[in-house]
Amino acid sequence: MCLLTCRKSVTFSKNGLQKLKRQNLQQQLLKVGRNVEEKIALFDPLTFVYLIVPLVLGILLGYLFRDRKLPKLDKASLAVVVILIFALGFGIGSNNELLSSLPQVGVQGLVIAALAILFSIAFVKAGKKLVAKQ
Amino acid sequence: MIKYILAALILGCTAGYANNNFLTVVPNTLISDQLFTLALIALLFVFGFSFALDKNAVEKIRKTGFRIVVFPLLVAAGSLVGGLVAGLVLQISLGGAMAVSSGYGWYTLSGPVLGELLGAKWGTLGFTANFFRELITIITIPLMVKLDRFAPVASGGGTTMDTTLGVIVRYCGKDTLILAFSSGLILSIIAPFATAALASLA
Repeated sequence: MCLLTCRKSVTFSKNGLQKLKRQNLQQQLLKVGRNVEEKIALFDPLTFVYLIVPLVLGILLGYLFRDRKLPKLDKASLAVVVILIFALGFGIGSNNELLSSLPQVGVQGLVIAALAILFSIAFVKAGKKLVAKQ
Repeated sequence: MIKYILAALILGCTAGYANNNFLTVVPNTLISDQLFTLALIALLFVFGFSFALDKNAVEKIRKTGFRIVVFPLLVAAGSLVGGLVAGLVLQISLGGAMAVSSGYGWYTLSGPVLGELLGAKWGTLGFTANFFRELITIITIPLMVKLDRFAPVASGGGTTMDTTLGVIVRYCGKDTLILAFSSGLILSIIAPFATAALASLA
């Protein structure tokens, strides 16, 4: 009898634990949802403009200096790429929403990403062949 | 070169995680936002400059010509079909899966927008799937470039105007700069609309 009650209480606590876990998950998801509204407010199409300006400026200056012998910018460009990727990684590592969503839907996300990449490459390759034929 | 890039990525992730969760040395946005933007502006300038130093630059732009518009549209179509197939494989809502794949790797857009429109479950999926698209592009670029010189640009989707631009131009050659940037730009402009439109089908 005692054994039975014990087992019962164990199952109870197990159920309770699962319930607790589920609630935790829901709370987490709700938190993600709330942050969404803030993020959407941050989305600004004008962002594109301030990226085009340095690109065009660089191209114009490069064009003006094209006849002069200049040191190769290989090292500088690698350094900038490394800094950029570091900052990107920093953004990933400090993004708790992203990190908490990875274990939840990681496999599904991976499948969608892989197939989107695969078909994008396939479409581009097919398009290239079509252009080459004409 | 991939060694440096992977090291920077892992180091950045670790530093960001530690800074956010254990010992806050600097505000997160100082690195992930301000430094990122600064590095991106420097990158665009340096790449634009070294691209135009090439005497055949103008000729190369002209050669790219029509591709500039068609390329991102092919990538968008490919992503759409990829999402559809993924939806069939995973047996989830096809509209939802296509909405996720139409983030074109821009996870800071796709996650929040889908979370808003379809609920937190799709938001997390939008986050994850598009994050992986960016990550796969960076990590597998040495392999992809062997498959096709423009494969990394197709793979990067909307991220080829910023986060993956540097890696792509270093690996695929200076003359991919204009194609990569414009493709990323066009896809980034399409992404919010495509995501929202496809989410309404879910």
